[in-house]
Amino acid sequence: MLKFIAKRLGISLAILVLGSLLLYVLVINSGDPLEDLRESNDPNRENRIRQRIENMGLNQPWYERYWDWLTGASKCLVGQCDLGTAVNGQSVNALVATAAASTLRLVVIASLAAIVIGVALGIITAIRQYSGFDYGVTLMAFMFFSLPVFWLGVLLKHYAAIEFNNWIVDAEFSWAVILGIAAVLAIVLQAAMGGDLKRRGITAGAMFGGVVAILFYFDMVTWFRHPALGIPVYILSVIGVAVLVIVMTSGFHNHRVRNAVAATAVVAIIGYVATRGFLMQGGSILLLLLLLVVAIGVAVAAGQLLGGFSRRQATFASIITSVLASLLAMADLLLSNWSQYLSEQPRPIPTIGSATPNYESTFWMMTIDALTHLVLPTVALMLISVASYTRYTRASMLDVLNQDYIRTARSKGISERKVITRHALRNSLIPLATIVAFDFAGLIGGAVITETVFGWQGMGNLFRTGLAAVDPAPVMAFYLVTGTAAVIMNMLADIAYAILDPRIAR
Amino acid sequence: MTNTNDPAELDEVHEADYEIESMPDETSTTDKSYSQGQLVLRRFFRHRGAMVSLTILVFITLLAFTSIGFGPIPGWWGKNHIDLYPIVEVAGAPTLTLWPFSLGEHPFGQTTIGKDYFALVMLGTQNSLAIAFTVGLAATLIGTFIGATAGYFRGLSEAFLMRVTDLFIIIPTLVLAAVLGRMAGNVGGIFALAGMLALVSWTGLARLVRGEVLSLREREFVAAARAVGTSPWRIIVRHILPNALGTIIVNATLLISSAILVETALSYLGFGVRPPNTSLGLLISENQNALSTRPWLFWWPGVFIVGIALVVNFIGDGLRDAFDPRQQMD
Amino acid sequence: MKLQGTKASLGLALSGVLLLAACTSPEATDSSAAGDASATATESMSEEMAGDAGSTCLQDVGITETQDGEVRYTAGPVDWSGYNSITADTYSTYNSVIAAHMFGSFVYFGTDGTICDNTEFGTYEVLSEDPLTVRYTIADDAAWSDGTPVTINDYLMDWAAQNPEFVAPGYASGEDPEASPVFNHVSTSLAQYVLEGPEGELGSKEFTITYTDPNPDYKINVTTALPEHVIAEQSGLEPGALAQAVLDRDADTVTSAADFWNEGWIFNPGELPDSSLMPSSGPYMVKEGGWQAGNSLTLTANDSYWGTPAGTRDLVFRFIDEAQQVQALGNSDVQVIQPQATVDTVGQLEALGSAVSMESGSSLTWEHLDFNHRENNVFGDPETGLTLREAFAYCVPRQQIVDTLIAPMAPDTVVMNAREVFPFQTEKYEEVTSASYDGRYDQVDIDMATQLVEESGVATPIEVRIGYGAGNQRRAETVAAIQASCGDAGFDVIDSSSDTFFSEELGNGDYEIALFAWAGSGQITSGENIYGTNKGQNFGAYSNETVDEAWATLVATLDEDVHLEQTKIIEKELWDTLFGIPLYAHPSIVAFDSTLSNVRATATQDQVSWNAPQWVAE
Repeated sequence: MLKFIAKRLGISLAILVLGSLLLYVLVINSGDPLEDLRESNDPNRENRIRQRIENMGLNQPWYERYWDWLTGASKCLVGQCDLGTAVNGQSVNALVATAAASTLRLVVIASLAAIVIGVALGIITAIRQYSGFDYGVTLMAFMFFSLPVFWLGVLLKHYAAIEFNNWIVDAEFSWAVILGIAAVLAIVLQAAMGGDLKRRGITAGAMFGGVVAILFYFDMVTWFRHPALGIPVYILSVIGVAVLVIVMTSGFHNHRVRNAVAATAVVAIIGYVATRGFLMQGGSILLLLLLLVVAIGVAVAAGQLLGGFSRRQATFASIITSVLASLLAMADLLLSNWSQYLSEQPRPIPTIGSATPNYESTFWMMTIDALTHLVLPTVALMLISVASYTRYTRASMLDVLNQDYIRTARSKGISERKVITRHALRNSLIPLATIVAFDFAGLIGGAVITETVFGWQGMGNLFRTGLAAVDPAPVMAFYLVTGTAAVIMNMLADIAYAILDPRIAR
Repeated sequence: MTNTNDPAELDEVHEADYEIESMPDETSTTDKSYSQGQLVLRRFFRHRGAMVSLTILVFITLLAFTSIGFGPIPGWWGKNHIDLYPIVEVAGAPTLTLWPFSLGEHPFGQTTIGKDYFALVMLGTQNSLAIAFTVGLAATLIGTFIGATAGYFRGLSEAFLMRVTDLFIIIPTLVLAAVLGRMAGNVGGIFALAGMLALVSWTGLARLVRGEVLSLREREFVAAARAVGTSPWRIIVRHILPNALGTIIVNATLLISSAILVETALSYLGFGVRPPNTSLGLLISENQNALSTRPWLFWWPGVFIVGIALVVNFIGDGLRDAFDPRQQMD
Repeated sequence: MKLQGTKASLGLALSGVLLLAACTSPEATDSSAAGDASATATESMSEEMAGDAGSTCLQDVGITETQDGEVRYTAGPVDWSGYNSITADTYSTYNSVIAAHMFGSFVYFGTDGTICDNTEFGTYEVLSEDPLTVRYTIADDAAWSDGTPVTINDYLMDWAAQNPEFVAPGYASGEDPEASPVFNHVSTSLAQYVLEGPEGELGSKEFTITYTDPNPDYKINVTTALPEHVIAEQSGLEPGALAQAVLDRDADTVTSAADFWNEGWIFNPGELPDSSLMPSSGPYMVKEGGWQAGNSLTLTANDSYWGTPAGTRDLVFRFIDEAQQVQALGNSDVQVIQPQATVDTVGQLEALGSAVSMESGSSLTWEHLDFNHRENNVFGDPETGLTLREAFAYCVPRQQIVDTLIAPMAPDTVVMNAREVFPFQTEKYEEVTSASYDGRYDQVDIDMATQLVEESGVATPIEVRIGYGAGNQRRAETVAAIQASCGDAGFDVIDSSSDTFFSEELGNGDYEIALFAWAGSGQITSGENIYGTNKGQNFGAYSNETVDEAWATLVATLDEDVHLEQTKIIEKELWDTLFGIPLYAHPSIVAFDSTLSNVRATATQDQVSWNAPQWVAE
């Protein structure tokens, strides 16, 4: 296997170099780098043309230009990249570093959200194949899949930014809106839950009543201007999370797992109640990471100590619980700071950019500021990739559900919940790993339009402006990042096949 | 733009599983595959979503090609996409009314200078459909050929072909579009564009077909065919590919719908179809600012893009189900 | 207090290319810079306003002290790249609009292209016309924000940076085609025309410039300068040492500053150097920590500025794609925009209601149809060419084009009947057009056109390829309108847009009619390059003795009356021989938050931010 990997690595590198040659030639032939100057009538036109020819090396043959680039780029292997200079005189090293950071921020959250939502929807639609819910989700998925990003961008900006910002001033719901939202949620939930007419009716009714009550409450206290979970709601939520985790992993009868998760939840609650006041004062990424490590440490300890024979499962469940509890705590802290943020930024959701210029405030305010800037582009990216994840998961899940071992499990009389959570789910997610790898590599470079629409200057923008100016340096830098990602992901996929299907390995 | 590549990976894995699971009931011979074809058709025709979608797609295609005509053949819609007509409604609003139903002079409205928007949308639909199906067909042929060759012959040719595939995966579509757009100018027009898109779209399918062929070639019926001295190409075309047809067709439909979207993105970036010719993607990106002021300029091409992408995907869904012998119809 | 931040006369002309992408090619739907840039070529226009200069220059709005707060503005999607915006690399509209407020200048452009004097910074006077000698006096209290006075030193360095003979022999003069420049300066005009450089004593507030030839555009040749003392210090020299070296013609010392000059002021995204490296001689300076890569750059009021202070403390430049600007304004992410002028942009802005104010007008960029005068071309044929050109001029629906394509967003736009003056330069325009054009092509006259075509004896239909840069919707629509109208007169109009139109077809003469725009700046003499026989921008190979002579007379004098007279002669001849057909001046739109006062649109390429230091919130 090691030999296989080494061989593949060598070949991949060769492919990258070959690709770079091809791309370089394509880029320098994709247009006329002097075009803007040719059209100009100004007395210094000749001077500018001469300067640009000199600076871009246009008077050298293409292979020399490529060689210059390649020698600079090959220094990356020893950690001293020299990716050249862009046509505007800036160092491409710095440009690509900034762009990659900005793109990663955008893509990571969008991908995670898309995976979570897409997989969840995919599983539910597979279980409820050919139900109203299945058709509904399929329709929505394809709808979002087919929407051009700039179209989605215009709509999102209008409704989720401009209109939302107008609304948040008063944060009032009309009765029609409350009833409308409640009705929609009730219909969706009953379709997802399924069951006979009576069960559906009860689900819908409960959902409807609950949503109306909550929205009415929110409206009365203008919750959206002063939101907070508060300690009581936090405790309830953590307990809910713990119950859910237990149900999804082992079920309540396994008291070892149950105890480990419960212990983790209790420690999380106590920990948060103790530190909340302190954290509200301020925080830092380092501190939060430290607390997360502590939380996971507690979970591992609980799993190991209380897990007994189910040690592995107990540890796993405890870790999930503690991470979710930490996220809840984070959400509570952010929500509690929201009203303060609103008073400093009366129009909280921006339509463009990655940060409010010159905004300086506490850690929590800055975090909220970064998040509000991320919201719209993330939603846009997410809605589009959710579709494919939903479809893949559905197909994969359907496939697994038709396998013999599932039939065997069912015939043994295991409950449907256990069949799905314990036998089907894990197996259906294996092929997804490959897709995630590819999708992620593609997203790094594929967010060109999203970046333009939301004013983020990331990798896509670097690539696009470079190509427009027929400037090879930034385009090649883009290629180096995305091409490497693609080749590595491709290789991982091949290795995965080799492991999964012994017939393919050589 | 990467979507075209992805389905392949999933299918490769699960189809491989499927072959292991269902080996006993699939001792195929040529006539068996024929009856299997019947089975597939039956399943497909019973797939309600796919049938409705197919009807809509046929309707859209007929509408687009008969209304304004195609090439030298005139259509039944009296207006064309070149002439300017006096503006009928304020700002060129659509004259279409649903109740009482009447088309009026310009059912989809008019552009700023008075072109008939219905004719433009129809021309755009023609071009988008042409691009989409050309890409679907060409990429499927290339991908199937390369995937099958690599998977069947293995050895050096596999290594070479799969590395070529890698190479195509890492070259960004936009660069190819820019270079080809420049070289082809307006001459090659939409088919140059479609060819270029096909050139970058086949990679996913190639990987997928290779995976299928890899497992199919180890099967008894292939061994039997080899034993009686059947030539490799005959084995591939007559024995192996029919068994991989389901996957191929399903992915072809995905390619078709994503080609429309990629063309839209390219038009937005200025590398797609150029005026005075038009495509749905170009119309919608030209009018992206019209959303709040002259919504019809934005929505009509939008409805057709979403509509075509949706129905093609549903048809793909139906085909996927139809080709999966273990899928049950209710 | 707006000062044109670019050094050379090309200042505005060049920025045009980028600027058009930013605001004057509204019809282009793609957002690639190259695509847009290809849409329009640039020209420097000759117009020095005869009218009341006061009305188009900056007006006193009574600002006495800087008000706290910020104004947010966007000039387009491109990030700032550095303090030195006059290297060949960094020279762009996007950098220029920012530099404009950090560097003092003797002159700036008024809203219609008039050259206005900035007496707060300094004064100048013509001492002699032959040879042309100008004396510049920098204001006594003019100083960089670090306290160093602005002196001849800065201008000496600027002259040296344009690669004069002693720095790069044979380069500026073009005598040695192999010569390579030492400084990556965008311009060579001073080095070319002013062989001796600024003359005066080291550290003096006064200097004189002596031109070798008459130069009607002398006013915009000497404008701003970079701080010599910073360049010297960063190159390991004493302040003033570089200026002294220039006076001594000490090439080695001067050359040693090239590294810093070329690269030291170009910054990595978001990384600002110590503020002592970026002193300001204008009302604004870069705010410390005010650059977030790809997101925003903030200028803050220069407290040591000696002239009228900035109105608002912080001036924030956001980097936003044109198509996204209206919604950003609607959400108050920015407060002032100059978006692409389209019917829909206007509609969107109107929908924003009274919270947003909008001004529409014309820019100094104008659209035109140019005939191909090569003899092998149907319109250039010595026998029948003129008749066919006239026939074509009769069938081009100019009024309809303006009414349908331009008027919906800029109702005041009229059909343009001149090339060197613009309709909004009212008085001068009236005078020139009344002397040069009798209005015969105002109305479409198909009968007349048909008759002329018949007279010419050329077989119909006559194939007419209208070439333009691909991807421009408004031009495609213009061609469609001409197609519809001229088809009846026997012309078979073909839309032949192309990606390579500017780099290939236009230069090779592979068209019958070229459709594009020239972007005017403030230059008087640049038209010669377009209409003069065998000149660089005379793409259609037009040649006319009367026109050549008139230009020769025009460029040889500073007398504005002579300029006007010669312009009339040129315009008349261009109409009579139908060089081409002018169509309209491009519309432009400015929209801003109604709580701001003093936002004022300009037709020049300076963008609406030309008077940003006067913007204040109520």
